Amino acid sequence: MIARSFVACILFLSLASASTAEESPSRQQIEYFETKIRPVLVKHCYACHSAEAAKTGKLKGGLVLDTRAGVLQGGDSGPALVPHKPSKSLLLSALRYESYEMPPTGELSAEVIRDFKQWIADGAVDPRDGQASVTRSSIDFEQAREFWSLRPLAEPLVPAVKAKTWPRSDIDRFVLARLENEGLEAVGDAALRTLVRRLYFDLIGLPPTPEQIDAFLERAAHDRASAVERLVDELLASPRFGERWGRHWLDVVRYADSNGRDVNVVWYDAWRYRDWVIDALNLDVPFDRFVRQQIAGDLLPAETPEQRDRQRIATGLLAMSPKMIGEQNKEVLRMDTIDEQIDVVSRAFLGLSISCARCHDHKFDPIPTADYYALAGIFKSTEPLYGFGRVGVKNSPHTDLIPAGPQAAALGESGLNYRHQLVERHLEFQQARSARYGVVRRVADAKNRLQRPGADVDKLQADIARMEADVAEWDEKIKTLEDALNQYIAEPPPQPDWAMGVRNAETPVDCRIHIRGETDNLGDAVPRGVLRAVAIDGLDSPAADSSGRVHLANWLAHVSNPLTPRVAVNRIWMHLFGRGLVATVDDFGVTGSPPSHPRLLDYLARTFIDDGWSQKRLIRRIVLSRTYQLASTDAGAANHPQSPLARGTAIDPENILLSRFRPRRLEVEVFRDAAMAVAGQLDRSPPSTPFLNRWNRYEHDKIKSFNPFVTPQALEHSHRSVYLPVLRGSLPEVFELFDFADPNRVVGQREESTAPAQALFLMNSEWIHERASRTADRLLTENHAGDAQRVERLFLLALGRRPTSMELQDALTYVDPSVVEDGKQPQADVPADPEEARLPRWANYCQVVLGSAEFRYMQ
Amino acid sequence: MLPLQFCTRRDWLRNASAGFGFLALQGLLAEQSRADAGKLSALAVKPPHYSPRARRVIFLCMRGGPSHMETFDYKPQLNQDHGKPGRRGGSLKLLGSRWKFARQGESGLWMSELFPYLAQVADRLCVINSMHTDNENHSQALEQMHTGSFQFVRPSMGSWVLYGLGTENENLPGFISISPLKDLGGLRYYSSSFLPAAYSATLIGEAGKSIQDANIAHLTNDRLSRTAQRQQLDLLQKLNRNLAEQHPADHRLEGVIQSYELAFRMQNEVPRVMDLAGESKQTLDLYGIDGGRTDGFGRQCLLARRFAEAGVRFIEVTHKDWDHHGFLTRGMTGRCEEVDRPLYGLLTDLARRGMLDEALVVWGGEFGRTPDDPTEDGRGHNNKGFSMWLAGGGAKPGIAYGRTDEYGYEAIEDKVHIHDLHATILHLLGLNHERLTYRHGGRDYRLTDVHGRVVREVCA
Repeated sequence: MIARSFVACILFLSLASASTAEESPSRQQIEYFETKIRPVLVKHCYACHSAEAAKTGKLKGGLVLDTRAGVLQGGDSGPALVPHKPSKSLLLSALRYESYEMPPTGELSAEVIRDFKQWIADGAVDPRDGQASVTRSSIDFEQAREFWSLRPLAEPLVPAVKAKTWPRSDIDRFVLARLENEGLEAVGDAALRTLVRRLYFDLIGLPPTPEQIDAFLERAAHDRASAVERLVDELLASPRFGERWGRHWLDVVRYADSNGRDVNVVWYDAWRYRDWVIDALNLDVPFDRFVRQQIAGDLLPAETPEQRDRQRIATGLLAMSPKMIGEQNKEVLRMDTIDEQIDVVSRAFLGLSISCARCHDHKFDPIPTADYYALAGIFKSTEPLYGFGRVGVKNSPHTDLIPAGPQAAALGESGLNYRHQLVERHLEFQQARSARYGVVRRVADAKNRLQRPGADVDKLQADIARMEADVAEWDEKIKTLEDALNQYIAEPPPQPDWAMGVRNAETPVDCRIHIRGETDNLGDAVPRGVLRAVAIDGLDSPAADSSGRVHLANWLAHVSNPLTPRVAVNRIWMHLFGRGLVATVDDFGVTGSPPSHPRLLDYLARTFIDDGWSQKRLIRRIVLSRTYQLASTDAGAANHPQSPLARGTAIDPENILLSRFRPRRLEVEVFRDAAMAVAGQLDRSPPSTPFLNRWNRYEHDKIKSFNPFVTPQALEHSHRSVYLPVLRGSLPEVFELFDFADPNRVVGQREESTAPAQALFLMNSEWIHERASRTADRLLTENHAGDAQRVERLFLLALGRRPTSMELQDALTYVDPSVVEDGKQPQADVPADPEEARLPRWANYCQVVLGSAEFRYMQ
Repeated sequence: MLPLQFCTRRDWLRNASAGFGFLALQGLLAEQSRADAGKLSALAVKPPHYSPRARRVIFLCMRGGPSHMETFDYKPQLNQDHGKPGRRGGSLKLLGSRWKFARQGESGLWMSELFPYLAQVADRLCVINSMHTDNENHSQALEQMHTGSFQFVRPSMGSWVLYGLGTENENLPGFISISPLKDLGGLRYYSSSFLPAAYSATLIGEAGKSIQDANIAHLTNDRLSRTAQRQQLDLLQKLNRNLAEQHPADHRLEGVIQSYELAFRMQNEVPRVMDLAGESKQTLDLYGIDGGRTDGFGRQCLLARRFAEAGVRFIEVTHKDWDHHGFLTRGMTGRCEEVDRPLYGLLTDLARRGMLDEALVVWGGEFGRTPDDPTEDGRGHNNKGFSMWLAGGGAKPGIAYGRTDEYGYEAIEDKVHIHDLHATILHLLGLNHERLTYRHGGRDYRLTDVHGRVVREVCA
């Protein structure tokens, strides 16, 4: 944790600026130091800033103040003072509690602070000898690049294995080599029924229908390998693939359809970015291009207007941060927005969390504050375009949107103009309202005063009459303004398509270091650039007249960037195995976990690049491996102590070595889609029009808790979950309960929490009841020979298997209204008439299956 | 089902001996993987860092920013200079308080006449008159009050406490928010953010709506009787157990089974705690539960006591509409009347049941008000100085700590930042705010970020 101390903030303040010119000090000057300065240093500073403190490990901020050299050299934040220049001396601003707050136990008296100012102004005469005693820590980038994730990708040799017939691919050889090393054995292959379900869920996020299962089983009976291969290719080619895998990426970039935070502005155009991501996955856009487009799509060459639009839409990533719209200090808002951009870019692409360098050098990773502000300069030279801030409020941070579509050129300008006008009119209307309210309050006030003894009744009454006339006048004016505004809202001119994204600011600027991250505490400007920890040969620095975004994009997506491909393949691996080879998928820094299979990771990363950064090909390679196709259990020998499963779970409970397949809970979207599919309610096609367009974007510009238009019902539709609006703070309940990725944060890996609130939902909610009833309805209306066939159908639809005889018996007993077992009460609360009783009983039974762990966990 | 008050952790473990309880114990021994952090065992009781003064918190959040000059911060100079130009220039004039202040109790604590009931337990209060916070917007100040940060989405104080200590009654949620705010993005104030979801608040009702019919979501099933539901659940658990037996090492499946059992028990347990029917007339009177103006907040406070009694770790209660830019007279009279008697009732009731020693009660809003205003009956936002109070749970009773300047513009002596308050609350719970950390995205986070001073002067 960071102590309140001189933490490293400005590493690159020039040391030379600290004058070392020796003048011989006068006697008075020395006496001044000895009486006014040294005692204060001893009493208030040495405990944390002295050679003694360094020895005992109490030194803070790398700063010693017990020698002259130490003071001049300074600590992590640069020299403690500049002789003759109090205003440039950190020591003084720290004492004043401006830069730091020193000493932390409480501000020293104004007199002492004046003494220090005087002392520094007089040249900071300091007779103390001795070395600085602490060597200034600075980052040795050469050495830092020796850290595993920053090293260039290795070209690992595929290891030799003993069980030569076991592997189906090189991936298997890497895994098996580790297992053999540890003396472990893999369990057997997954049953075909398990495997087909696993592939459907993992690749397209939907359960296979009984017919799809049968078709696969039939083919696999002849040739397992080719049947699997064919199925995988079919699934990868399905448009449903992009909906499944696009959502993984949307988690990472914290995709949302509204701003969240204090003013929850609806982003009516965010979906274009969402659909762009889905399309990109379906088209298998090479990942390096996928990266470049999201960072600098607006600046990349485009051959057609459509391509230009798509690339601009891709930059939506940079506009989607949650923003504190009401923040009064616009500079704070700007820097917070930039921080969010830096955070999403660094974690999504590099697996590095560098936001801490906003205030101080990164504690663990080789990221100095200067590098943070080099990146900040790039984003300061970039304008985020997210649309309205809060309409009707002065100085709210409104931005443009990007005109797109065939009408972009024709309607863009008039459309933007309409939006500007709208903001103006809202403001005028609101200002009139607050003016009126001001008068109303004064009327109330005057009436209060009337009650007081000795009030000037005549004058007050005259005032009141005059003010009430004012109010009436305001009322009229407000009415006029409101009518005009409503009409203006109701009849917008023809609009182009709008998109969120970014554009270059008019003039590129460098960003100054913000000491301690504070906007009013500025250090030197840092040239725009990228992290020095990842240096790539042959990449020049950004041109002086550019924002630097193209440079950033090229650097991120460069074939020699060691982080980008590693982070990308690790995420893909994580989605298929439930755990990354690097368990901390968003942290490839020093505090993250090292890879469990470093050579496999680099092998995958290399293969990924060699495959033209194709995500589909990588996924294909992985799911065709034997490792992926292992069983999750060992039905026969689960309890035999020497079985591969028993030994694997005992020695490697977390399954890091991959001796088996670890069951995974379905993500909430998959759960919802599957439940709706079983119930026959799911429309597998994407919605034909953007869902939020049912609302007037200029009327419902933001979500308020009392807005009747944001209700659970209003947010439901029968399409796949990925198309449900992600309104921050108003997520569908089922999303909130089952660990949907928090759209306020970068989420590489979701939680998998188990809470009673989930069980209550699955036991009692209208939502589950609706799904169960519709499933029952379906079973009862479909043409089945009898109840046994219905139960079988239910199991095949929901669980992809037939019921065991025991399960079948239990089910039949449960749904049979005539059975009263062992004197137990029959099920209560269902109509006595057997025919009428059928649906509720079946619904109750379907609920059992939909709520079961087997339905909700993929094996 | 065991009666609630006797359902200790040991009983819980015994009830669940074959299953989850056993695993929870195991979980304490084994290094928990990241994926496991979201499991139920995350709620198991954990020892504090050092001997605690309080075991739970009742946080009474007064949304809107109550005026300190009308409540606990007596400003004779302000009254004397009423009508004179204020310090902030413009047309702002100093506004004296309309209400009389008097010393109350043996401690002689200054309180305004707006709190005739609370004044009777003045000696139990530990008033802090030197609070300050970083932001003067409601949503940001409220967020900082709850999470320590106004810039980023962070875990709520209640989530941190639950993460630090676990919960004592695993038949109930460990962090409950009664009548939470849902506007201004309010749900963030109670979310666990990057802490596992198990630490999020369970919400009951909504601020501004009647508490009488409020409940935890999906707690009842109107289609099935309890017996019929048990029958259905048995069938479900049979399926679940089959799967769990095939995956003997997978704790999550056992977790699913136990979460269903817990949910089933909660259906009984929660209504029992929330049912005020067993409370005596005398107790209801104590809280002002009489259908009148004190009824709503009285019920909220009584619920808080009942949840505290049942072992809930962190209980928050929200009371709205303290934002008096205008109509201060009407507003303060109304709001104070609504809370005065319930506050008195809560403290008295907790004390007579011997629960006040263990429960730290915290009262206050996101900021205070300005001493000046252009109108004669309103006050602006003031984040630089305001009052809050603590009671019970190791807070020093009968003192007023810190002070603002002679008008109440800002805290000038023994200042207590909201970070300091957080550090102090954790301290009283036996948690060192610098050690209560959670690793997320490569960094250790704290409720107090890099700030916070334990205000030992307010600790008994």
